[in-house]
Amino acid sequence: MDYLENWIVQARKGFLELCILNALEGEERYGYDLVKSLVDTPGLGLTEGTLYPLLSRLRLQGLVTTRLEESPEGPARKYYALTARGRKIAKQMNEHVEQMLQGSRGLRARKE
Amino acid sequence: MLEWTVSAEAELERYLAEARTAASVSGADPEEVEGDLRRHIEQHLADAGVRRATRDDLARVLSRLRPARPTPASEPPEAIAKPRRISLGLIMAFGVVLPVITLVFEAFTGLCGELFVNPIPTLWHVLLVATVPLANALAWSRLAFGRPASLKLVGLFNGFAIGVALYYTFVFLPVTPFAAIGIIYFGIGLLPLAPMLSLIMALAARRILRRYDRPVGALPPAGRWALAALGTIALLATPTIVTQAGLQWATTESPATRARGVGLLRALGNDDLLLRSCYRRDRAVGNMVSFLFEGLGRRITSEQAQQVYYRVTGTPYNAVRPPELRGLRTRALINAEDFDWDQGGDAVAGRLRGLSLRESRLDSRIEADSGAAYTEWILVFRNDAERQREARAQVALPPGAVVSRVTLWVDGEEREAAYAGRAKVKAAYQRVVQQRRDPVLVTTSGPDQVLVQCFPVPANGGTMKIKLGITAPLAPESREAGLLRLPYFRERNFSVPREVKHSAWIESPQTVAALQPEDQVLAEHPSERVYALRAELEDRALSRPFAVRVAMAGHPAWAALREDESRVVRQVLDETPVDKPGRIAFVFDGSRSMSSEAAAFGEVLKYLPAGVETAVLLAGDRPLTVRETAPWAPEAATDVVKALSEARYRGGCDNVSALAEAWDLAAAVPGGTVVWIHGPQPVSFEGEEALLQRIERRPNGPVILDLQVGAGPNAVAVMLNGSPALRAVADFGDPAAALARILDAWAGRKAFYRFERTRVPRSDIAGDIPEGSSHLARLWAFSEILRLGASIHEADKEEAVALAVRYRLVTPVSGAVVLETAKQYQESGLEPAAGDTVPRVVPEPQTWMLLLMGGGLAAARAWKRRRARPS
Repeated sequence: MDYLENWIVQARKGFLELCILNALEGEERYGYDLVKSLVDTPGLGLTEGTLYPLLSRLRLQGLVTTRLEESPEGPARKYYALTARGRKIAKQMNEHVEQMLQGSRGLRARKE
Repeated sequence: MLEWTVSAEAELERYLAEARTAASVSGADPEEVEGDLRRHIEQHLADAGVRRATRDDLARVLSRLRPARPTPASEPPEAIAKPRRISLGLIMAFGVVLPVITLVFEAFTGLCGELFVNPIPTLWHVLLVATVPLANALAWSRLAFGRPASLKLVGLFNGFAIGVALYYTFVFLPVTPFAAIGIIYFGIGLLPLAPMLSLIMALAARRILRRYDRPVGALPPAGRWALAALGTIALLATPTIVTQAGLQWATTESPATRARGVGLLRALGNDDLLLRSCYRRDRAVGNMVSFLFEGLGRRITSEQAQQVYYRVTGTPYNAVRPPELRGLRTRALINAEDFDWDQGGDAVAGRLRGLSLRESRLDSRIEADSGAAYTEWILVFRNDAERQREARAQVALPPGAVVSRVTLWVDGEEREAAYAGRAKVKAAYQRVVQQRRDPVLVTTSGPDQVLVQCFPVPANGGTMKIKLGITAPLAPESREAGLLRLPYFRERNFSVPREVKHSAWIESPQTVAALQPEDQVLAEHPSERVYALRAELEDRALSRPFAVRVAMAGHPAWAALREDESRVVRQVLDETPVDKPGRIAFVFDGSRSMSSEAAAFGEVLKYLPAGVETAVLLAGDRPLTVRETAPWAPEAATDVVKALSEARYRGGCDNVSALAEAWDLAAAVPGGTVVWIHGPQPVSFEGEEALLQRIERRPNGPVILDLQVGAGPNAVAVMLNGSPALRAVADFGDPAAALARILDAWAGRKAFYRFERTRVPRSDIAGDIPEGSSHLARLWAFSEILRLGASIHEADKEEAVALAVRYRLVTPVSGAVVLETAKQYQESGLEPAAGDTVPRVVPEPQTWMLLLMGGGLAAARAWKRRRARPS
């Protein structure tokens, strides 16, 4: 693995959780649909199997809630939604990322 | 519904197992992640329109979930995913069919239980054994069709079945060589090998599942579930282990260990298992634990178990329904197990299947002038079992009564009994019982109690009809009224069906009324000189017991003696006050049957005369002093009631030790008396000889007044049969009132009436004293026999037997036996009573009536001769 690939893996680790929380912002989504949309997000470079352990951890930490609902078209669907705490954390994370990006951009602009 | 090929499902399980491991390392919930991934994969396949998922289908989905992995070259291709047909055939034959046949065969026949050890003593054991063929069937189905159960469930059942089969293989190990020899030489004996063969099949199925139904990691480990099976077996065996250990302890020599055993059984023992050990037929089909205990420990006899059962539960073992035999055995097998081991013996013992009372008729005639009554009790027994039965019962007689007639119907005709010494009639009975002919034996078994034995009640619905004639004195309440109690069963080995009622008819020349109100009692007045009560009594109502109050003449009466022309029996009503005892030692039974009764008797103690030295003992597991010997004060009753109320009444307690202790206290002063208030005493306890020795060596020692509460046997009364030291307290349906009557008499508060019968010269009888019936003479003879029988001189005892034979009475020194033929009587040296000498319930003709009839006959004959003479 070259240096860039390694950096992308490291950067993606924390960023993935934020992406999940953002995807659930304002609406409830079922797992299969959520995973499909995240996998299709450019830059994340995900495989579908990676996301479920993350979703489980978020539930255990109380950031998302889940419920099961029978589906006539296939297996039962598991719906995910943000908790109040999840919303609050997501907001703080987004602000922090924004700050980091602004800071980083600011450093570049000063040199230029 | 999505279906999976075997290899596809195996691949899926492997992937999910890896995902679980990864999830648990990452801090996620492995179960949740597994479920999410499974749903995700199924959704993918559903979207793609897949109905039966193959490994290729799965590989496509997994490539999206993770980078694709190359298929290992060693993995079997899809085409050979099924095991060989021979393997499947063997699993089905020896792992499923054979154990099912064995289980059904044993459940229906109980053959193994008969010959070796019962492998399925409870329904739980049946279910446990059934898991073996079930597990093998699941494995077979999984290997053959890849369904219906998941690999996880199949593995779980397989491990459990291995544990069960392993246990039973070990149990049947001793018979395995014989079974193997049987197969080799005779081609039979496969069933004992069923546990071993099904174990082999379960292990083989597991091996094949591992090989063909990968991945290996998905099959739950066998050891854990096998241990669970062994744990379940141990759990099922726990009640048996505790009960068997308790039985071993409760029958040791050491009193402390015995007490510990009884305590353990009371706390944790299984009453049903304990009851089974009281019956020999159930002992023959013991389970594995009983088998081990009997092999390694002491063998406990049925009699020992019966005693322990009473000590633990407080209920005689034969007072409860015999335990059902488990398994659907054939009728013949049940019948074979129902052998009556006590036939011809002195014990009533357990209830016999099929034997019942079908009819009961009581006819009582009260003779108000004589203060006596005669009751005939006709009993018809029926036997629906497939073998002949002996009907046995302890019959409680009216207070002071004596059996004066015993009759058996043979081919529709009445046969009267012969009367002789106890040993002689018993020997005649036992000889005839061995020949399976028709005898009836009646002997006394304690004060106011007889043992009745009838054999054979024919099998398959046969009946046997007998009659007991009982001569009883009325118990005078005053000069104008007396009480009579009907006889009842204290203990019996036959059932009394609910629909069978005791049909009672009590008639008197003066008014008669039931003492306890009974719904089914009707008063009748059929003629001017006959007052009667008619009742249809349930057995419970009769044994409460049932008593009547009758008007009587309290004037003197006399009756002729047999074979003694010069003397007569004279009866007078005595009301001289009774002396209060020098000391009274009360013994209260601490058994469970007395838990709601003892305190009520304590209340009655307030009627005790003040100042008399009194001690109160409670016969618990060990004798307990409730009150030390001290002069009685009425306020002491409160303390005694409190102590009796707070005492713990558990199981069945040894009363003999407390009686011996009370006897010693009472014997320390002249005129000491023991008052023993107790429930049924079905078993003998150690120490009886010590009590018997005290009584025999001190003929003028304390009297034990015996007051039993509730119907049931009394082993102490049987032991002291014939001893004048033991006297039954006359109970007419209210034991507490019976005790109060005695205490009132001691305190001098109420007159105590009793009949005195003496033998006087005929010349002493003035013309105006009415003649009583022959029952007066029988009652005099009975009291004389008791007096002579208690003597230490052999001549007196012989005279007592002669008197009993002359008056044809069943007494402590004599018995009555009915045999079938004149030859049997001759062989036994016995002579049956002539039909015209036995008492009858119809009025006996008075002497003047006989003279009148004789004179009339003579006159008729003379007139006939005169007419025939030629003029």
